[in-house]
Amino acid sequence: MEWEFTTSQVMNGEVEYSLDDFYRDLENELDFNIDKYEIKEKANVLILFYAVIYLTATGREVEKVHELTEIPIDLIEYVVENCQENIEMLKAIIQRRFLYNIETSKGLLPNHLNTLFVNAYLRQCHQKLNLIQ
Amino acid sequence: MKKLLNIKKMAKDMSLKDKARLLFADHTREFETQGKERLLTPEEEDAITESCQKKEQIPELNRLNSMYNLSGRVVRDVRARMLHLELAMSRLDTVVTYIHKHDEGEEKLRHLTYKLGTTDSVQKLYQEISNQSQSSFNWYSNKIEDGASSDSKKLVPDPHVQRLSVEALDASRMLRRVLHMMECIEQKGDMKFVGEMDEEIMQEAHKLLIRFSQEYYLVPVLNIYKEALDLDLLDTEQCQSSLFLEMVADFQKVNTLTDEDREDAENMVNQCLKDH
Repeated sequence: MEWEFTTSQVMNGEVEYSLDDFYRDLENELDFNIDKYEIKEKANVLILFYAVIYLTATGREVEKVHELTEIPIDLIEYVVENCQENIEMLKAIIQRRFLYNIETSKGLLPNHLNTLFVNAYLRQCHQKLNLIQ
Repeated sequence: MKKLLNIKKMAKDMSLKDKARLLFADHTREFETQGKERLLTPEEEDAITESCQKKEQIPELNRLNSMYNLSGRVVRDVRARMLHLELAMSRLDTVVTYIHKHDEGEEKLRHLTYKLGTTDSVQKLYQEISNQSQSSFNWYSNKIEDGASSDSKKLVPDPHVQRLSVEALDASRMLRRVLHMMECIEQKGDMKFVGEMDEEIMQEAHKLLIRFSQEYYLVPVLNIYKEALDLDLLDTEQCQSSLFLEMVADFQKVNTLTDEDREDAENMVNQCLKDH
């Protein structure tokens, strides 16, 4: 995907770009590139791409992504190779959340609580996007 | 060249408000210097009073005088409320600093454990030190284990932080209330009653409220709980008071005087003026 802003701008909070925005843009990009598929197939492709991007952005190796999702390794490698910018942008969105919590608590929030909050935030976003129940 | 004003002569043409201002400034000066200094001579004071009598302004002068006396009592109340708020802020500061320092120690311990590796003996040592350093204050009273997910038990805000936050808010509201009383008095009299020294106290009170609302640690502390509330991680049923939850949800909303508070303050001013 291409953006009019950088990952640094997202991470520093200069540009507001949420996980919802990212998912919507990814959906649009896939819609544009794979319009020959049926709607249901498109949805599955979107979930597959997002799962690989998300798990890679949160530090999982290809083997671990395969173990967690059962997506074929060659497909995972294909997504990782072709979606490097998406992975970096999602990393920036998640890092922004960490920084936001540090800023609003003026540094009082300890790391373990920040991790708990960011995980809960990601979970809440994924629930809203119907990616998990 | 020093020019002396002839107050006795000027009093005849002065407006009532100016006469009152002179009398009040004189009383304030006498009070502030513990009777050592005055602005008016006894003759000048008599001349002003006589002028008021001739123009049948005594009832109105008495009304303004009641307001002047009440404003003096309100300033003393402002000073007491300021001390109350500063004390409440300082108590909350102590707990917040304690928690923060304890967290810093724990983070260092975690980092050290990570560097040493994850062998059983290191883990055991970490647990031992960690148990020994258990703080009596934490952001949340139920201990959060490493790697805890949002599925785990909901979080209960530390009872000390809850109580002290509410106390600090109450103290700030009381201060706002007495400051509003002063505004009511000045509005009723259509003039300022306080002298320079008291005006400084009023300014300090306003500055203290700004510090409390914007620069103090309460908002960042509440943000720690707000994040948990928004993420549905907070055990709202275990919170000591609904006011604490209101503070977490929208601090700026509860950190102002309600219409009811304003009305109470206005009624109190009316009652005090009626009684005197």
